[in-house]
Amino acid sequence: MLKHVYAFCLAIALAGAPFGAASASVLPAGQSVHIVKATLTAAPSSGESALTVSITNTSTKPLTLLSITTQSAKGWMLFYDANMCQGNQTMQYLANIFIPKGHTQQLGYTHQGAMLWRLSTPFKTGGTVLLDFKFAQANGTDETVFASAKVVPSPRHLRFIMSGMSM
Amino acid sequence: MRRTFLKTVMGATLIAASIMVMAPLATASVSEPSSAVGVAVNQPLPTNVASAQFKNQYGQPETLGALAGTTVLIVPILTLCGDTCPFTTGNLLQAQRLLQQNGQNNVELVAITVDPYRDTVKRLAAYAKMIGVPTNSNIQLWAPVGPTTTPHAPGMSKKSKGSGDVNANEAAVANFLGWSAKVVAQMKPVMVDWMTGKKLTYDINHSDGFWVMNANQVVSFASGNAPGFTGTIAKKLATFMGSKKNIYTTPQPAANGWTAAEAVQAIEWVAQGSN
Repeated sequence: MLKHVYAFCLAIALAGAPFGAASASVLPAGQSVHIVKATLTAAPSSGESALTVSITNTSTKPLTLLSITTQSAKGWMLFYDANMCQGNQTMQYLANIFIPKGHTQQLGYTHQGAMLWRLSTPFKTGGTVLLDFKFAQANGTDETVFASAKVVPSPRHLRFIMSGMSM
Repeated sequence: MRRTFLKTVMGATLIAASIMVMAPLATASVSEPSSAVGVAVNQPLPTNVASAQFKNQYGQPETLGALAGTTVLIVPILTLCGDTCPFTTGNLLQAQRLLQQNGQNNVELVAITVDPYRDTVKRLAAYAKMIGVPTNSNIQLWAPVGPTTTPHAPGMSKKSKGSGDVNANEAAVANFLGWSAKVVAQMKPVMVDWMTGKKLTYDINHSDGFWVMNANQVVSFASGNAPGFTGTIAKKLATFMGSKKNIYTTPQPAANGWTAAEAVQAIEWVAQGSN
């Protein structure tokens, strides 16, 4: 499968970025994971939206987060902030995120996060978007958990610039 | 009947006391570093990355695959980096001492050059000596084996800037860990090569951070931060950087960068089998 990896740049410093501005309801979730405080930033059709969410592994085994997708976006990426030696910063693609048992993983505007792009419909403030969270369980099987995210205004200091793609 | 009850109570008390005494040992596990430091991942080493060939500063052949059974910290460096790498290697030296103090002997600290055209084994050996890497320590500086093409050979065109050296073994590791390295103009004032005394003609902008691979060859923790070093670096290295001091009391170059203690925490968290 052709995998597109988009390189984004955080164009403006993100210090003080709020995390999880609004909570979202949890839809029928698996027994092993608890997903709350999911938000997506408002974005136009074909634009990019940043996700914030709190994911707790409530099972007795580790989980590996593989993807966060939605039917309303053709592209997605898990990322972490990566520093370049001359001072600039990039959002570095992550193949997955490992969540030990009992651990809560926060995705936000800094450190670790997730992006959706090539939106097929605009994400309007106040709306909700259904997200698919796909996990690999310790026994090798996959589990998909659905949760809705509330669309919130993009913080003014948050800018995403898509600078290219490869692979 | 009463005696039996007393025996039961005393036995239960002893067991409870034993559990209380042992509990600190059982719970003395290392916690996962905070999300500000990095993120836990689950990336098994692919075959092509495990077999990518390198040589260490002693000229000995090395592969990541050969380090199976060992917890490995991996960092990108170049010996002619004048802003972050001296602090990255400074952190490696401190981490090595911390690991020794903690009795962690089954750990390797591997710095892989992102400047394979200039960072030969001879240069890595000189760098290791300059910064004071102890002989027989667990700190290794690796250069990839095999042909290296470079966009910055003498007479390079402007359009070649923006890409980095190309070496198949280097690329295998860099692509897997998500490193990038690009040739950029030399910063002003022009720096002088600490080894040859010649002026540098270009710099390489590259990824920072550290990655920890567990004994089962699964990369289990990734940090994309620049280092946040405090302490002493070699005077010659400080001079190369254009600094008049080699003792730093505030984190360099990043105030919120990764420290040796955080790297050791990540190593020990991975080594205890958390991932």
